[in-house]
Amino acid sequence: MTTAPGVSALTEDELRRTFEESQRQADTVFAQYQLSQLLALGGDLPQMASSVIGELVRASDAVVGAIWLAAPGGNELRLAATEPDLLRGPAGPTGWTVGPIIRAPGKEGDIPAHLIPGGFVTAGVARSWVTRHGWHGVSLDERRDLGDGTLEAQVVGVLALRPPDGKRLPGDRVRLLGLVRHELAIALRAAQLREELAGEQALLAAILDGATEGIVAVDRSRHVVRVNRAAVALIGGHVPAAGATCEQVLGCREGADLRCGPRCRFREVLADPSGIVETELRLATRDAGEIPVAASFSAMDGPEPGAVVVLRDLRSERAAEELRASFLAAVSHELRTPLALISGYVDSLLDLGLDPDAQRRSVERIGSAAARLQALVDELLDLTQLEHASLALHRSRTEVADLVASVTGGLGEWPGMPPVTVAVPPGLPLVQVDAVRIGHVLVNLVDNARRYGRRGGAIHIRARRQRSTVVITVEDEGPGIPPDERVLVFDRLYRGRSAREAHPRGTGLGLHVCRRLVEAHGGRIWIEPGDDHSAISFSLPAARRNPAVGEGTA
Amino acid sequence: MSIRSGDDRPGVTSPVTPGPGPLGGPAGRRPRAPVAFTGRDLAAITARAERLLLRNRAFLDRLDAELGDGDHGENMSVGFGDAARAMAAGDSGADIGDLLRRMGHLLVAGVGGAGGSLYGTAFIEAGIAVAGLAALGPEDTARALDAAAEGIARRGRCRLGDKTIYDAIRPAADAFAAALAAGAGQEAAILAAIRAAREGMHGTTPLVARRGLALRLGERSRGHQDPGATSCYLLVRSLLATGRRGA
Repeated sequence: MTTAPGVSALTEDELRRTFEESQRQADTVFAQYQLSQLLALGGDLPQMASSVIGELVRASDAVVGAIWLAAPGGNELRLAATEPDLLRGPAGPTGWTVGPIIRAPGKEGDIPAHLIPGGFVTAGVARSWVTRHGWHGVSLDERRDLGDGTLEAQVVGVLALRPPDGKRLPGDRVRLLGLVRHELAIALRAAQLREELAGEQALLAAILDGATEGIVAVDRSRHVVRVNRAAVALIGGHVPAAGATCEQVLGCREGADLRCGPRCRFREVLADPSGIVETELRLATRDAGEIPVAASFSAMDGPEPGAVVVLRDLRSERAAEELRASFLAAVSHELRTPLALISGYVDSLLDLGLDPDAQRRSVERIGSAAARLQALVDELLDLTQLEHASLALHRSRTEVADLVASVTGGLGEWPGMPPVTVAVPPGLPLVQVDAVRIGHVLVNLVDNARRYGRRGGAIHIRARRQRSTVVITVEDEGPGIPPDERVLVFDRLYRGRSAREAHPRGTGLGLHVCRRLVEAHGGRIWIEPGDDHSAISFSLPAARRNPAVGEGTA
Repeated sequence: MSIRSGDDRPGVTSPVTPGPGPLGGPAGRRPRAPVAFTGRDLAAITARAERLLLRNRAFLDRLDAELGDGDHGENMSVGFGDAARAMAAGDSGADIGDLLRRMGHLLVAGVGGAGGSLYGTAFIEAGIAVAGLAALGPEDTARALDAAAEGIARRGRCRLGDKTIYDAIRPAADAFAAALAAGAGQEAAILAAIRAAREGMHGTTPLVARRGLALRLGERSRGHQDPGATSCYLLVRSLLATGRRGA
C-alpha cells in the first residue's frame, strides 16, 4: 500500500487501525443522519417510537430494543415501542413489562413507596434496571436552559438495547446512543405534545359542537375563526367561508341591534379584554328573518387574541312566556266570569226586593256559577297533580255502558246541550278504570263537542272493541280539527287556531287533562281523521277476564 | 413511467441483450464493453451515468416522493454531474483505485441525502479493493463490484429484501462473478450484471421497506419501486459502453 508522505512514519498496522476507526466514525455519522431524517419526518408517537427503535436495533446489531416513555406530568414510564414488535402480538413481552408498564423490581427501598406501583420513577432507576438485565440503556432527557445558565433536565423516557447474549454493545454504538439521545428526547416529546394537542382539539371540538348555544369566535381583526354547529344552525344552516368577517356571519348592520361599526360588541371586548358584555340581540337570518338571542361577548386570552360570543336562542323561551301569559289571561277570564255572575246575583238579592221565584232563580244561578268555578279549580288541581305524576287512581272493573250512562244522565241539565246519541254494543269487555276520572274525560270531550260543534248539530258517543282495548269516540258535526293541529291539541295550554278565533274563552286545559288521565290508565287519545266532522277517540285497556278485583293506584 | 434510456423505450421492460438495439448509437452496432477498464473508461462511464440519471431525474424524484422526500433524482444527477466533470478533467492515467476513491469522496460531498453516503462508500470501497491498478480486468471488476456491495451493506446496515440500493447492487455483483466463473467475457458479464440489477430493482416493488425514510410507511411502502435500487440499476447499466464510446 502506498502512503502519503506526511504519514510515512505510520506502520501499515497503524494505518489500518486509523482507517478502520474512521470507517466506524463514518458509520456512526451515517446512522445519526438516518435517525435525524426519521425524526424530522414527525408522524405520530407510536410510529416515530417504533421507527426509531427499529433503526437503532439495526444500527447496533442488537437483539431487542425498547423505548419507554413517561406520561406527560406523570411518574410512570410506559412501553412505547419494541423491536422486534412485541407489543402487537397477543402475548406481549414477558419478564420486562407488566401490561404496558415496566416495574423496577428490588428498588422499593430507594423510592417513596407510593410511587412504586406505577413503574419506574426516574430514568436512573430504569437505566439501572435495564443494565442489570443485560441491556444497554440511556435516559432520554429533554434539556432546557432556565435562562440563568442552569440546565433543567426533564425525563422523557428510557431507551434500551439488548446485545446478543454474552456480548456488549460495541463502543461506537454506545457513542451513537449518546449522540442521539437528546435529539430523540426532544422529537419524542414533541410527538407527545402533538398528540396531547390533537386530543385537546378533539375534546374542544366535541364540546363546542355538543353545546346547544351558538358559539362564534373571531380573531383580533374580527374575522370568524370558529363557528360551532349550534351557531351554524342559528345563522341559517350554512358554514361561513374562511375569512368571513363577524358582520357577514352574524348579519350585523349599522344601526341594528348588533351595532356594527364603532359600537360593535366584539370591538368593545377586544379593546377591554377584562369585560364581558351581555346583551340581547336580534340576529339576522339568511331568510331575512330575525331571531331573538341572548349574547355574551368576551375576549379570549392567548398568543392569538380574539373574542368569542355565546348566543342563546330565545325563541322557545319567548314562546313559553307568551303561552304562560295567555294561560293566565284565559284562566283569570274564566274565573272572573262566574265570579261576576255570583256577585251580581248577590247584589240583586241584597238590594232588590225580589219575589221568591226570582230569589230562587238567582240562588240557582249563583249555584251553577259556583259549580263552574269548582269545575275550573278542579281542572287546575288535576293539572297540577298530573304534571307531578302523583295522580291517585281508584280503579275498579267497570261496564263501559255504565260509564257512558253516568255522564249522559246529567247532560240534560246543561243549558244549550245539543241532542246526544249513545251507541254502546252489548258484550264489550269490562275496563279497569277510575270511573270518576274517566267520567271527567267523557264530560270534557262532550263539553268540547258542545262548544266547538256545529250549532244545532248532534253529539254521538260510540264504543267499540279493538283488540284488547275498548275505544270510546265522541263525535260532533263541527268543522273538524285541521290535520296539523291534531297532535298539538293535546298539549298543555294549546288552543287550536280556529278555537281561538271562534271561542276566545277556554283555558286550553281540557284536552290536555284528558290525555294525561287516559294515559295514566294505560290508554291513548287521538283525533280521528276526517274533515267534515270532529271525532276524538280514546282507548282503555280491557280488564283481564277473572282477576282478583282490587283497587289500585297508578 | 419507466426508465428512459436513449432510444430504447420503454427501457426498463425491454431486455438488455448484446444483440441489436443500440443505446443511442446507429442501428445494428453492437454495444461494446472494454476488455479492461482504464481511467478513461471510468470517465466515460461516469459521463454515461450522469446522462442516464439526468434523463431519469424526474422519474427518480417521483419514486422517491412516494417513499422518501422526493429529491433522489435531483441529488443523484447533481452529484454525478460534479463527479463526471472532475473525472473528465482529471488524470485518466492514474491508479484506477485512486480514481474510484476520489470519485467516492466527490459523491459523499456532492450527492445529497443518504444516497451520497452510500454510493460514496461503494466507490471508496471499490477503490480500496482495486488499489494500485492502472486498469481493471474482469476479475478486478468483479472484486470492485463485490466491495461496493459490501460497503453499502455495512454503511447502510442493509440486507437483501430491505428495499434498498443493496437489492440491485448485490445481485449485479454476484451475477457478474457468476458469469466470469462460467467463462463469459467482461462484456457478457456486464450484461448479466445489468439483467440482475434490473430484476433486483423490480423485485423491490412488492417489498416492505426496512431501512431509510420509507421505514415509517411500513406496509404502505409495498407496491412502490425503490428509488435507490432504480438509480443503482442505472449506474450498473452505465458500465456498458454504447456506440458512442467515450462520449
